Amino acid sequence: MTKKDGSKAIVTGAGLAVLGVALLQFIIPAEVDMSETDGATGILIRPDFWPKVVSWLMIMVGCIYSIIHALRIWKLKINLKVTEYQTISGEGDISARSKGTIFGWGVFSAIIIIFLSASHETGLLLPSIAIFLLASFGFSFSAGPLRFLIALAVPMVLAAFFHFVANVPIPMGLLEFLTWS
Amino acid sequence: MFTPEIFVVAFEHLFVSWGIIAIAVGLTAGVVIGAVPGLTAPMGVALVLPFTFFMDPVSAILLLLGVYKGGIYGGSIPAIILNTPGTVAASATTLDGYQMTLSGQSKKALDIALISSVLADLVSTIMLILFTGYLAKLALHFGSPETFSLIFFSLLIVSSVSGDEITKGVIAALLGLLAAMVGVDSYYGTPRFIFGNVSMMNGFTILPLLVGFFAFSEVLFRLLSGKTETDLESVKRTMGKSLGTSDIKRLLPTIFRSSLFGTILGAIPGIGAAPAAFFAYSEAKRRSKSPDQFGRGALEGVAAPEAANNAVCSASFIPVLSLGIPGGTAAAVIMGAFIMQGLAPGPYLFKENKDIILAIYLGLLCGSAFLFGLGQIAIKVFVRIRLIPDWFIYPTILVLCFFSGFVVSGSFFDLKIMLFAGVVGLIFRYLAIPVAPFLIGFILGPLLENSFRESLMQSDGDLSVFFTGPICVFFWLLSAVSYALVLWRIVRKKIT
Repeated sequence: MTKKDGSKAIVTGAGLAVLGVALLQFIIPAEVDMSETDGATGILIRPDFWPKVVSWLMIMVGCIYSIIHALRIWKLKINLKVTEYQTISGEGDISARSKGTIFGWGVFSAIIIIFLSASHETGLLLPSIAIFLLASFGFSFSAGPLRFLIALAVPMVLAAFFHFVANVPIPMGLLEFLTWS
Repeated sequence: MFTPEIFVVAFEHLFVSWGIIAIAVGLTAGVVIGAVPGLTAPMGVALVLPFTFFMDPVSAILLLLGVYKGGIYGGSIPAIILNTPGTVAASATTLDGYQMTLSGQSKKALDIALISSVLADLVSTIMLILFTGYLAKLALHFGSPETFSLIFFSLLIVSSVSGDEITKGVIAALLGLLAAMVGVDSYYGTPRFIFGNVSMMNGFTILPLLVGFFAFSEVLFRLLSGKTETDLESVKRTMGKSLGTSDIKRLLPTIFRSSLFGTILGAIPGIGAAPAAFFAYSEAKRRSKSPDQFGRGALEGVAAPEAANNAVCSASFIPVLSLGIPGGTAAAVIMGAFIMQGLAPGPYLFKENKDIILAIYLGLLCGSAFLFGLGQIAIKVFVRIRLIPDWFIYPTILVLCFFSGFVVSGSFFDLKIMLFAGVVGLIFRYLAIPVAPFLIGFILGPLLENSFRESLMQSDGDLSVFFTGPICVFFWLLSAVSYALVLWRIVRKKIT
């Protein structure tokens, strides 16, 4: 285990425990409707019973997980010299991050934005053509002109498949004039 | 039970009428439908149902059964090659199937899926023929307390499904249970965790969630990690390696055991193919001599879920034929087809329409052979997908995710669920949290809660109901022993 892994694990455990507390204190009282349960036969059958059980388990498991990893890091600190410790901690990863990965983050953000903006107005075909193009550049820069043609063809073929085979029309939005019928 | 005259009539149904062609067409359509993420096997059965209006009863039923069986098998193909389960039932197959593909063993993984599916199909069909009555009786002994103890056992085994760290598996399972609670409470009809959004009343739809978790997150992960060029030459070199005879021999016990689990669980109304597949997967891991290989491309990790989910197909037909109770969604649609054809599923069917029953049995047996041939062709076609360059295949998967998220219920909300699941899946990958326990928690969560409540309602709140029947006691003991073994393994590892 490296320091980075250990820190990740502590944050994960703490996050889980915090989520558990938030569920018990705020989310369950506000988001589990108990209006129909007046005079219910028992606590065990009520709608908030299992959410509460899961929340308590989340708190317990989260705390245990964090403590275990905190102890492991502490042991690691004792066992290793500071220099060795830094070598395996992986803190130099950021500087080594390739340009390709940074471009990947850009493509990732763009894809998420396009996904979120998909609606009846934009339809699914136009965003999917954009997604195809963006993602294909994220993977490779070769075969440029061919790629534009494929980016148009693949979403249209898939949309036609869903339309004719599954009988589920894909919303065309701005491209409504391309209606299959 | 079946006289020679009945055999003659049954053969006429099959070979003079269109019975045999119907099952072949159904299987082909099913494999195609199952291989497309977003189109599930029950959805395929429903899509084909209108075509059966003008067919004779045997052809109609065999066509629908063919679609169902083909669909369940077809779901394994994209699960193995693209990390995208074609159907919910194939979600457990992705765990090791895709890992095998990544290590250049896609052909081998597809072979395992096919052989496991065909053998399981054969086993469950034979059991359907021989033991329909007995299995229906056994299934009837599975009340709510028994179901609860079985689900609890499966969830407990989750810890051992999760690879290196048990705690991570438990974390994932808890999050899966939490996600399963979103929506309307099944008893009181009151909303839980919907945050004022009416679209969340039905909870998270499973298929967009699966597509997001597996396929969408995989593409995002590849984009962000810079792993954007697959070494096609190495894939080419290794993908052609088929399954060896020694591998098949090694896998046979797992396949038969999982087929048995699938048959028994499939005969219980309401359990379904996906939980059966996960149960078989966790059992295979529990019994394995090298459980660490699970999740990293273990052959048994593909064989067990594929055998179990295909065994469920014929088994879900057991309560339909014997009791007139559908074992799942597809079985309910097929039962509807029986009624449309003027047949009443249940004990009377065996008295009044023996020829039809026999023709269906024989058709199902022929269907297993067809499935094997069809699968061989499908493997030859689909295995070449890995030779397509990354810049084409991954954007295509993205567009497929985009459409699959929408087509399940024609809702933009499901698309957002897919997106959300993809991002959560990505976080899981970065934190090295296993996905399998999350899915097991999500799929089994409602069953766990409902069976718990039903048991308490039946017993007026008396908790001893969970410890009275022999099946309950068996599963509690099995849970205790399994967990003790897992803990013992950890302690032994620490000591050595």
